[in-house]
Amino acid sequence: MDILDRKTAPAPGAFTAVKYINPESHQLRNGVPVYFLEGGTQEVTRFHFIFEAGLRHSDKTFLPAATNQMLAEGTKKYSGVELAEQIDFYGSSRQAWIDHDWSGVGLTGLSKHSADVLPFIAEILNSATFPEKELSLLLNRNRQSLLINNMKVDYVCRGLFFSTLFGKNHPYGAILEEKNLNIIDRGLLLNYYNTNYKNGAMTVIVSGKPGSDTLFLLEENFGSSAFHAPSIQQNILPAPVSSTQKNIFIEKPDAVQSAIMIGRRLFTKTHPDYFPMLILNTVFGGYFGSRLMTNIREDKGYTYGIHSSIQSHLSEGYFRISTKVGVDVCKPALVEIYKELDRMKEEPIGGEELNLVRNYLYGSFLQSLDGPFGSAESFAGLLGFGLTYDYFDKYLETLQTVTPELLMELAQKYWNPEDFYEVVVGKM
Amino acid sequence: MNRPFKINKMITFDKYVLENGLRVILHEDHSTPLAAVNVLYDVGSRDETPEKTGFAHLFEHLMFGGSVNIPDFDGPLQRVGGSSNAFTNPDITNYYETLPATNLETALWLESDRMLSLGFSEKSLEVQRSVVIEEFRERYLNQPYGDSWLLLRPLAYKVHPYQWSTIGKEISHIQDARLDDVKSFFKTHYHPANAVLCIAGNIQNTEMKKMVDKWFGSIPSSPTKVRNLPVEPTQTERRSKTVEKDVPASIIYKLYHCCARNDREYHATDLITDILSKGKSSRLYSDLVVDKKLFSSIDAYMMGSFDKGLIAIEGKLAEGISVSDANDAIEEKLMELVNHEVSERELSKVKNKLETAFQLSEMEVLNKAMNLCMMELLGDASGVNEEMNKYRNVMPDQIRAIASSVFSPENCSTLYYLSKNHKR
Repeated sequence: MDILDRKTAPAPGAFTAVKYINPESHQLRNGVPVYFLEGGTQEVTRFHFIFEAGLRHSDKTFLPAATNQMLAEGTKKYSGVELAEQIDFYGSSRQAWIDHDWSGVGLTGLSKHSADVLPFIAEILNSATFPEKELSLLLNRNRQSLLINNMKVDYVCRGLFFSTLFGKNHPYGAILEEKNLNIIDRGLLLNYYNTNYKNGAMTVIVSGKPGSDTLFLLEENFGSSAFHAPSIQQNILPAPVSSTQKNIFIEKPDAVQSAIMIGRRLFTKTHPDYFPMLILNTVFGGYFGSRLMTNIREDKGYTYGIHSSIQSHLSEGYFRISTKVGVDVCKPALVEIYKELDRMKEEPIGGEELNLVRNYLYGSFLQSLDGPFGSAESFAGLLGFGLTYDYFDKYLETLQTVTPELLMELAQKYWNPEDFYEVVVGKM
Repeated sequence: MNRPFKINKMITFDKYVLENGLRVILHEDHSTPLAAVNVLYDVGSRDETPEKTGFAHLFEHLMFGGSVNIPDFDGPLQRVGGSSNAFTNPDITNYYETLPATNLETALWLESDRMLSLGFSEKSLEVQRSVVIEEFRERYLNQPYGDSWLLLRPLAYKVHPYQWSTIGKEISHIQDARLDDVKSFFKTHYHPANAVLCIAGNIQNTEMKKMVDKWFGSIPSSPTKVRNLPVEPTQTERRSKTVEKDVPASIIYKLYHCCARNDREYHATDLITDILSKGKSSRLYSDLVVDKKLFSSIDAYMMGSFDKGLIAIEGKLAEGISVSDANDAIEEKLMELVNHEVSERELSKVKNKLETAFQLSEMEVLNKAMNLCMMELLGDASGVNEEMNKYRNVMPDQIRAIASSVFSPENCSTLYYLSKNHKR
């Protein structure tokens, strides 16, 4: 018998073509678009009811989130506890989520119970009452968690970082403060709800293995309500105003770790440089084997983790490096971060390393599309930006064709420390 | 016409044991382009000595620092589009990879080499010591309430090794770890007969089997160490501890000793914590948070540990509420479970929730691989197909009987984690 060669990696198999789950699209009577992404092995269904009701839709920082969190706290027919009990009884779970641009309600459960549970979601989206008692509970709970969060170096750092980048008065840069909670009242919520939910733009995405009567159920529960089809642009935002101060340091005398965030404003995911920047960023700090992790965690042991990312809201984007390091090594960690950044601008990425990152990103892409729920998340990410699966094809093409030279040029173009903002909270 | 719904589909798998003692489970799933590999080692922080705690977890980090023939673990895996991670708890250490099914062999090559032997480099140990110390600071010291379980475990356990957390009792134990300790830990716990391997994904069982034989078949076997842990004596009187810290709100933690993962009462006990705190219609939330406004949040959960475990209840006090009122209110809610039988509807509700959770957990190959390994370690992988029925079969009188044996005052340890500016 041959002696096993344990030193050489097995030959990699060919990458298989990526199979997208193609959405089947429909429209309810009121124009609300519905997309079905069917697949998977289990008889479960997830509904996403997506609204143009993210943080950008109000100048009152906490109002969109408060409205979203309060949706199921009571309707004309049911109390919050009754609604929860009914949805729980059928083994379903309801999620409320909000980001800077969109918000929504999710429902996940066994497909056989869709007919039982959807009427409660319709109640929530059509006749929520926002009871005073529950609202005051919500506000108190948020006051308490704000106090707790403000004790965490990374939370404080994150708030300062984004307000520095976009300005405190921009919805992408607003910092939540207690005064934002104190001005919230029931009238504001009802008003916001009427405009942005009850009479708002809605999109429905259905994924999993829904029963064949699901479209009928959606029509019955949502088709004759006041929802309408969404626009792509949403509301116009004021231009971001970045701070003139590039370095911010907040001292927390008791801290055992310092939180560091460094970065700049960048473009959204529709920009031609977005894909190559994603790849560049992955090499730099976007995965476990990245330059930052290899140097600052695996070689120096300064941190439990360090990451960088390229993120895109609907109207703005940014690049950010973020970590928490021991207070005694904060300064050397900063030195190493900038050293790695310089390296990206001075030397082209080696063929071996770039190849690794190409394959890593291909694998992550495959994982992100795995199963109907993953596919639905990815599809939703396209839909809001008016994109289609062509966008993914272009991504895969860039992944294969991007060169070390182009990536180095982009690093030189976008990664100049004089354009960066640096926020440190803790001790230096 | 409605399509008929099929529920409770069985997970099918092949199972066998290699000559060196490695238990192998293979599961085909052709609905995904991916494959998952899960390797579970039967070692956790309960296997540590009191003077060297945090070792199982530190060791988990070292498993990514290069093995005897392969200097770098993550690189080759990422090069074929894979990703990997691991976790350690008091009972087990679990490693896993997800990758395109066509590249499955790369994961087996990597996992088998680190089962064969590690690289044992001084540099890797030195760096991972600092990384773990940063993890200790980040998770347990640098955040409000982060140290609560460091205080709770020794309150509830006096002799059993569950008295320390997986991260370790104190930073010095990690600082003091030496390469010799690492080597002997590996020798004792990291060998085929102490592990369970599961592969799940888009590949034929016969193909998987060939690869498993090739990469794992020649790893030499070692004798399995018989575990002989001290048994925690029954708690006979109420315990409590009070700490005052610079946190914005006070929290009450209440721990009750309960059954172990393999005990017959496990499923009913698990349902008790669901009745108490799963979802907004649960008892503790709807009554103590919404109606009485005593807490801003409250949670109950069970540690499904292999040895006798705990039910934990933690409630964060609303502003201006006295600690004793809050404590009485929790105890009163627990006594309701002792004094009255739970209704059929409420019991069905928590069972239905679990049924959905089971279906969801079977949507990903990695989850299936983890569950199969875990059930195999607990006795038999086919348990994955029996769990839901065990929950379905729990009756209201069992819930009541367990509640009355668990929720007695002398079985309780309470930690009052008070805010410095709390008004009493």
